[in-house]
Amino acid sequence: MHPTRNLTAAPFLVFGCLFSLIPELLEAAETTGNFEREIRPILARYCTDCHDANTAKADLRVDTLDGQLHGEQGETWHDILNRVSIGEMPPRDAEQLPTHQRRMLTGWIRSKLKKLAAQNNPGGQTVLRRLTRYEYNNTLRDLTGIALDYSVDLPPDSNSPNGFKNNGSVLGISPLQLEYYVGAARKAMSKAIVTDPAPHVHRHHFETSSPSNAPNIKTAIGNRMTPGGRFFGKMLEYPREGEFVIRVKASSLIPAGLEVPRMRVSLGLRSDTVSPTKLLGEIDVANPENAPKVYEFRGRIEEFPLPGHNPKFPGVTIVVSNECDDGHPPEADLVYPRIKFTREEAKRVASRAKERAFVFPEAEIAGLKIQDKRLREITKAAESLQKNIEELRLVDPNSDAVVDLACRLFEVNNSSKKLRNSIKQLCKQQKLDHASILKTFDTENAEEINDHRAVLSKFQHLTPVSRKDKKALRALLPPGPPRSTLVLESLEFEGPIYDHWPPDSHRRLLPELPDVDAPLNDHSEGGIQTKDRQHAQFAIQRFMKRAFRRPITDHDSSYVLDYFNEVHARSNSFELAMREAFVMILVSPEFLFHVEASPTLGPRPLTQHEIATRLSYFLWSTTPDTQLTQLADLGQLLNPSILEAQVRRLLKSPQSSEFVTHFTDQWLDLSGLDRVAINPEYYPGFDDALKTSMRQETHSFFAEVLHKELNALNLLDSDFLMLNGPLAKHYGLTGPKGGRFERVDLADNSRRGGLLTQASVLLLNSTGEDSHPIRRGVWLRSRLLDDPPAPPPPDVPELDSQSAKIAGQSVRQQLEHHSRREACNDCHRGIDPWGIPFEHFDAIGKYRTEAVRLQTGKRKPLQVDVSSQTVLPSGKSIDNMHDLKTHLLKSERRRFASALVSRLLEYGTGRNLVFQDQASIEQLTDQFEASEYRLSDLIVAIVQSKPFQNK
Amino acid sequence: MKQKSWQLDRRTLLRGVGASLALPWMDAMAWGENTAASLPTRFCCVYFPFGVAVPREDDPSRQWGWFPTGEGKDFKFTHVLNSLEALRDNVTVIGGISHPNGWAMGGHDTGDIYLTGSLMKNGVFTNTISLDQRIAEANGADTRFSSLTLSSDGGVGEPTRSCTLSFSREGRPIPALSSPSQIFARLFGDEQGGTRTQQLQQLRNTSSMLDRVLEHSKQLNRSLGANDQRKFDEYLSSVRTIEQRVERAEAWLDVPKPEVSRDSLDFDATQQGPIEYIKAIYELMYLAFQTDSTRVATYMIGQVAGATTIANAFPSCIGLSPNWHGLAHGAGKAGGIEKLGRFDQFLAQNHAAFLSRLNSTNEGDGTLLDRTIVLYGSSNSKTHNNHNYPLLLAGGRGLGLTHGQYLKYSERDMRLSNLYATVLHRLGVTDEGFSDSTGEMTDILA
Repeated sequence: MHPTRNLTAAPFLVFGCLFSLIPELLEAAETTGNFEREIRPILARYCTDCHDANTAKADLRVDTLDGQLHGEQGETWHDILNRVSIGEMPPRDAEQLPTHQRRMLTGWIRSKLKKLAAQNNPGGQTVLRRLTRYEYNNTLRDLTGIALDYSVDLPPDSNSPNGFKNNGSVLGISPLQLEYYVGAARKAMSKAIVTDPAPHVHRHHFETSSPSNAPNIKTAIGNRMTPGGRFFGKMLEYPREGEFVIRVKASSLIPAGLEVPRMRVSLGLRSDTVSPTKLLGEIDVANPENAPKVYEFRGRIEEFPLPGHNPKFPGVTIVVSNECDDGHPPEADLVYPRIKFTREEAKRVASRAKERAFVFPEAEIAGLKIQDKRLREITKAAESLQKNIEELRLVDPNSDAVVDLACRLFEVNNSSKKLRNSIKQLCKQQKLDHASILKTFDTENAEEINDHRAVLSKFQHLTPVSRKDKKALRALLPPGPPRSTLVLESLEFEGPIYDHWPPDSHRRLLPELPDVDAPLNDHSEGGIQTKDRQHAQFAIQRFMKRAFRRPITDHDSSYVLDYFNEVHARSNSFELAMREAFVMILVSPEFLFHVEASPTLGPRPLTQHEIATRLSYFLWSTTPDTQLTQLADLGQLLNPSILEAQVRRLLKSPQSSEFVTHFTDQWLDLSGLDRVAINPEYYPGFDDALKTSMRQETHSFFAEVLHKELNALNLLDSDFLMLNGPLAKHYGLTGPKGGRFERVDLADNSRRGGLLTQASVLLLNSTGEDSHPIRRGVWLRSRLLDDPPAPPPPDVPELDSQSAKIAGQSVRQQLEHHSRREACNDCHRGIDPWGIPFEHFDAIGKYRTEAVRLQTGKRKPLQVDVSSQTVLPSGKSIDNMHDLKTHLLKSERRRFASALVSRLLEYGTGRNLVFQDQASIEQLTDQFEASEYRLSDLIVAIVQSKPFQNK
Repeated sequence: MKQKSWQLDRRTLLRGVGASLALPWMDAMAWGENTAASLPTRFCCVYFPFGVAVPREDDPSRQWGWFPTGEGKDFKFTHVLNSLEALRDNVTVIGGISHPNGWAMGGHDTGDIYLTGSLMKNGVFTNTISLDQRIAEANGADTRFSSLTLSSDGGVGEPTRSCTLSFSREGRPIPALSSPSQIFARLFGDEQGGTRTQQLQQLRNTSSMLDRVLEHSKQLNRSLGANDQRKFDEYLSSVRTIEQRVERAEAWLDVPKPEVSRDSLDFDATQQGPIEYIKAIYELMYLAFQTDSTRVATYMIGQVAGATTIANAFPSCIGLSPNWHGLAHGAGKAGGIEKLGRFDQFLAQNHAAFLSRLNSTNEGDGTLLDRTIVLYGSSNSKTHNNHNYPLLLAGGRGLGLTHGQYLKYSERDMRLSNLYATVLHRLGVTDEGFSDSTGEMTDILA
């Protein structure tokens, strides 16, 4: 049987901490590293009683350890580190390790492990980087000119220890993936290179909405859309592939102080509330009704849900909707005064209704059983009619409750109709002549009928209205509050669209041979085939140059050309063979990977084209464009000022949003927003769509700092934010109306500003119910200060949040449990104080003074005071978030700057940083400081730095 | 495909039959060769992270503990597994066992070795072949797909936080599919299109293309540095593998993919709607087995990293909070046991529904379940505890397994790999054991 060692250590958790360069706590406890002098005595005194040759408890001997951490001893050291760190060893009943000795021991093990990891590191060379999913998608789009989602089927990419997806060491490849690469490339090529004649163009024009199939749509359908309102354009004929354009001529009506209507256009199956549609685009519509504007949206139809070939519900529907939230419910309730009767009156009505009941023509129906269902129906209808009349008799015809009156008149008509109808039905069933029976009925009840007429004549000035006819009712009521209304004049669809045929993509991929009269020197086969082959070679080399991101020789392209020839001979179609040749290029390693050949060991300078590639994927996440490629061709990227100009050009282009999005997402772990589920019991009415706005806020904020050349310390604290309507409302700030993000200046005493108080950061480091100071502290230290604390040892007990005593404590008090156990405190005194200052912000990032705790089985939630006072490990007292920001700006500025430098460098080079990079990081940080923390200058410096320019 | 008139083409049989309708089509298909030996044998493994509640026997919340009360034949399901009562004769609950190699690993790290039994420690990130892949190697040749690897997170994740249960012979993680619509398209979709000649043409093209790319890549490989070469090996072996797959696809070209209606279930479900999502994944595994598209399937409901797995938010779908990891951590005390128990009950209900589907579909003289061994469980008992895995073994009665018991072992006497060795033996793969097995688990043999 296996050794009975029941240690459940977590060596891989510890692995994470190896990437921290200098955990602040360990600095103090760092020893001179002498095992014999410092460590062995500790082991001898506190451990060997149980763990030596005689006892070897848990099958562990520490007396044989010699301070070497590699090989088999490594495992044992990991175990020791974990056991000691959580205070499990020495056991309670044995002599305890004094604090100093414990820190010396754990500090020594950690620093040893760190050195070991550094030795095993590939040495600062970027490992063969595969294109990430988004890089692949962008690149394929740019090479073919066809914007489709090519990465939809590819497996998700993994994260590097610091959260980066473009890190060569974590980018694997598998057969499944390669299979989907082949599929995606074929899909792209079948659309880019055409073999069919020009397709029929479908055009549709709508000025009124198509009806909806959905039974329960509560909001307005039509041209004037209040929030939630929709307009449908149903098309029975539509293209199945190709690019289309939708043009919406629209304007809006914005009552003072309300949100700007946000127009959403989606496309998909039936015009139901639930049927699958896919978002095409969204835009704020702020132009007034007298100045309608045309808004254009483009997409590829095959990306949208289309019906099958023999569908139950044919056709596709364009849905235009008004998505803004103007503060009123989508559909205002219909409220109108109702006529009320006193108890006395009600009694009188009831008794009179019986008294004056209709008389039935008894002779004719005498033979019927009284239980007959129809007979009961007649009685009921008669009674309810009479009741309606009796009530109306009591009402003043000039009552204010006109709407209710109109409805009552409608009900009278209805009951009367129902009565006659029931009689008719009965007659039919009994095979009696209903006309004569009704006549008898009228004569016998002439008195009552005349009385009815008399009562009703008082109300001739009113038109009966059904209570269900909301539109009519609304017309009778005074108008409700003015709403943010989207006004649609017309909706147009056109697709597939192309300027000429074959389309641009086709012409770009299969360009005409520059010299048509090239000599035909192939004697073995026909001249035309030879010309095809030349044409093929020309097109293949051109495409390869962009796909492989380097110059291409005849030798390079020969394997592709051979394949072209093979397929061409078999298929006898130039286009089909070219498609296949391009597919082959797109599954070749030089396309899928950033190949930086280095047959010899050790770093080497990158070639011009390799630099162009790194740069382009750094800032655009796609293949270098023509200008960059040409400069590389000419060897001009060695010139620092030309390179700098290129960096600035790339940053200025809208395409740099790729850098902003992916870098901030990965650096700050914004995808974590999707992992936290907000508990609706705690936050009723929280809309998950707001998470998207939160993420965009952080993107826009970073983009603003980058593009406006602002000081990057704004990331720590700023006097402005980037907000859209919903988010401004969420923060309780006055800001823009609508979905677009705009710069909002903050008041001097504002609690917001910088990244730390953005809802994205606060939410992703929460439990979905409450704040999570530990997660927030760890996040701050790892992401902003590049100082990740050691991960938690396994089996850490959690606090019992449901225990009455603990539930009533503030989080800060709860965290004080850590300080009561020495071993916990070793790590937590370096974590908790960084998280406590966030305490005034709840799980969804709102400011609070009290925390709410729901208690199982109790209706009343606990209100717990919130305290954000703490003392940082350095001894600095912090009262609140404002203090923390001030402290970071004042005392942690260098660490933050260096952390940001490291993360940008890691993202730019696509590899983990190592100790050899430290000098470059220092130098870049100095430059960053000197440039007043301008991100664009830093990015220029990074691109010109040694780590970036070397393999 | 040429066939005798009394034989039915799969397409004929399944045409118009909704996905939810289980037809005993195999009866007709297997006409004339209806011997047990020629019927397929299948394996399925479903894994959930973070462990379960394991209250003491006298705990007032004992009924929300995962493990049954009692022992042997004389056991009672608690609330958690009570949905399996109707299947009692088809399931065995196993307690007390684990992978000894996992004892030395972190509580969050053992999802990777659940089906491999390897030791991954101290920066050694290499794994070994997983049980399902071992089975697929031996038994996967007769179906369109040798195996189906699924997880809620998709992809491979990171070592010790892998998002897949399956590892190749080289110990490389096999990416899991996660999107029901993508899985549906792969299993039953007609993505190729075109005539038979065109499809054959395309396969030949692919084969030739990959051949040439491989040749070309070997040249490239020589120009790479040592670290790059290691990475590049993955590419080269991937190319080789799909070359084999292309050959397989060619062999399958004339067999139409089973026609399965897409309307019966919400295959557009996403992880944001866990109730529908989990249902869809189980349905897809069922359909894959029912149509004999594959005989090996794994599904990792979540991986054991609270911070990164999508499944962490799943409990909120039935109104439990804060999240799975939190529930598991809370299960050590009163109230917390019931909360985690309720979520485990929800999962077990889904699993039971899957088993019932298999069990109500006839095959030969028995049911699909009789020839499918289904393993359900986790590599944690309590959170972070790599001992006493909660395990539920089902099916395989037609392969010599017997059920209706709760087996409690001591980890000194039994280990998980012994169960795996037994499974391999029963499925006719090998009788030579698996990973660190020391024998077989004979208590489950009829």
